[in-house]
Amino acid sequence: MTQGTPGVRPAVRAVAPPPGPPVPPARVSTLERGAGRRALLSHPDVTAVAALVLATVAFGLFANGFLTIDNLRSILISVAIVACMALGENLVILAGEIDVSVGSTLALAGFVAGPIAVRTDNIWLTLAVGVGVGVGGGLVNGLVVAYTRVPSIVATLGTLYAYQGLALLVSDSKNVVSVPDRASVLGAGKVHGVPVPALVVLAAFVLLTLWRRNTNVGRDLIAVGANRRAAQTMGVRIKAELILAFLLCGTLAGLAAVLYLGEVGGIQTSVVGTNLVLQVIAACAIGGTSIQGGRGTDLAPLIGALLVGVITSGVVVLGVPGVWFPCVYGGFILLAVARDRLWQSRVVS
Amino acid sequence: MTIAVPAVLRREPVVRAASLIALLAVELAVFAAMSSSFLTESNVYNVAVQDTENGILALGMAIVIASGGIDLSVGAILALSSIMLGYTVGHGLPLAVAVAVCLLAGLACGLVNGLLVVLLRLHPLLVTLGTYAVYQGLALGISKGYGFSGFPKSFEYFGQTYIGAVPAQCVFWLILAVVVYLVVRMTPAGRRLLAVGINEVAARYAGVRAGSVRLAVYGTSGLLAGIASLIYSSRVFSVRGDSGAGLELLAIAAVVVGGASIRGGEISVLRTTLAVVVIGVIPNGLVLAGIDTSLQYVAIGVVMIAAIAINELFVRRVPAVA
Repeated sequence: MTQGTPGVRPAVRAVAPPPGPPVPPARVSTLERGAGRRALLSHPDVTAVAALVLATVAFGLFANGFLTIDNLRSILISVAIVACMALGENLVILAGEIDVSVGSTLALAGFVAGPIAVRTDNIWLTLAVGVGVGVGGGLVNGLVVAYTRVPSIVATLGTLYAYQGLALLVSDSKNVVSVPDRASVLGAGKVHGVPVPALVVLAAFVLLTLWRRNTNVGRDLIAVGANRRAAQTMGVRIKAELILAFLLCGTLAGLAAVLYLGEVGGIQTSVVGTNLVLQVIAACAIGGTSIQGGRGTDLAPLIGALLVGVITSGVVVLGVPGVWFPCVYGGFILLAVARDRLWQSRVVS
Repeated sequence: MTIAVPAVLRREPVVRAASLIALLAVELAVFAAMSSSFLTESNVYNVAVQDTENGILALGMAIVIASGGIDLSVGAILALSSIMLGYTVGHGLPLAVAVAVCLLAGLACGLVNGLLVVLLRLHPLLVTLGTYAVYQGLALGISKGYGFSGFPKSFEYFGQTYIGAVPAQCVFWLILAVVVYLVVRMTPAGRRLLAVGINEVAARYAGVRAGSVRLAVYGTSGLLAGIASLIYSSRVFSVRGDSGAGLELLAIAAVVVGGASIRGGEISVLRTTLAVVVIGVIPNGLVLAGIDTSLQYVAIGVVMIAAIAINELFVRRVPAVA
């Protein structure tokens, strides 16, 4: 899609080690001084993990009541929905595209599955319907992006509005309230004190990682984002990869809707207009996935979402008024992307 | 065998503008058939007044997109500048000072975006995503979440008065559109803008200072958001920290429906403005026709994808060299 167009040049990612002084052949080994450190540093999500650890320790020391089981549990719960969506968004970003419609997909899936949850109190049915709507939404996005020349940010902006409207139509402008207990187990349940939504996200992460590491289709995804023309030359089916990435992104947004229904006990029409998608993209970027595609890990969205959750919670515990949150949050996004920049100029030259 | 196509229809800009006008005509015909109060003078002005802010934001967005960037923060800039306006008036300073503060706040926000994009060479999508949150937070933080509505009567000038029979803000919109059009089409600055959008590296080799161009582009977008916030605050006669949410997406939608490539290098002030109206007519028409307004979003989405698809279709069929 972006081949040969000015402005968005497919970025060629350097797989080679960072340029340094030429070393004699006898010393070429991973034991070369500093090679290990550099290999570690070239991992895009290392700084995010470090920041996460640092933030947790700092808040633990200075914010009284931060490092309690209850607070950590509430962080996990509050992060689960964004993390779930970010796992899918991350795939799309890795493939060099973007999906801005995930918030609307969540709303649509929530308003379709919500009444079913209330009426039947059956989690399997709710899950099937919610995820089904997500699959449908993602598939439409994927087909539009793969088969038309419309860039993904534009195509999914169109479907953002379309799904948003459908969600409001389905909702009949009424909130879904009081989802019964059994149907909300995925969002509100606990297993040995661990919130189920966190386990769901973890399971999704493990499955995605296994898929991305152990199958050709999964591995090729990053090639599509890094250098599409090269990937095509090597026989990667670009269209199939793109459709799959968007489909999975929609699927996870549908799953997030089921988590939302359980956690909140319903869904409000006010959710429809919120910029959930900006939080989702921010989570991926903060975690270390490059917005230009082709560079990043599967762990990045989880780390990014967790980091935002930890910071938000820490700031709450420290007693900063809620109106300042977006500010803190925006500052973090900027820091995160600036780090990405400083980095690339050092490691990839 | 070949059908004789008039030469004028083979010109890409004509085809693109014509397809938008056709789309608008279809909308007008459908809505006029559904409600007798749709095509009245007062309603036409009503639509124009409601579209003005988006029209002005879309002008800025068109410039940003033409340079190969994107600005997600314009809605938040609108909120922050309007809060600065209310804050200044609320502290007893004269209206003229408040207006200046409002415009300066918009410009400053835009320049910060530009500096981050240029100096750190960051992707504009992420920069403006971050500053979107920062500006939104500042707007909420400064206002402490409260609204402000104690404006003097003279503040009505920007958004509630008429110049002749035409609402004042529509005149402002028109003037700004003409200025942007002239700058883009007639001045070296416009050439440099498109050069950077088409191929930044080539532009640099040709002696264009791409960094300055980008800085100016985001500054302009911020300033236009400041102007839009002035008109918006005057129209609703109150300011809130969360106003302007979602406007950035609507502005992008307008530019894209106007047929500009999201990858940069293209700009059409006329088509962007037409697209603002094409999109803006939808909610108004649906309300007057008594249809569920939820449908407006579906309609905007469908119109968007349809307009782009039609554009691609026509543009591909039209031979580049006749």
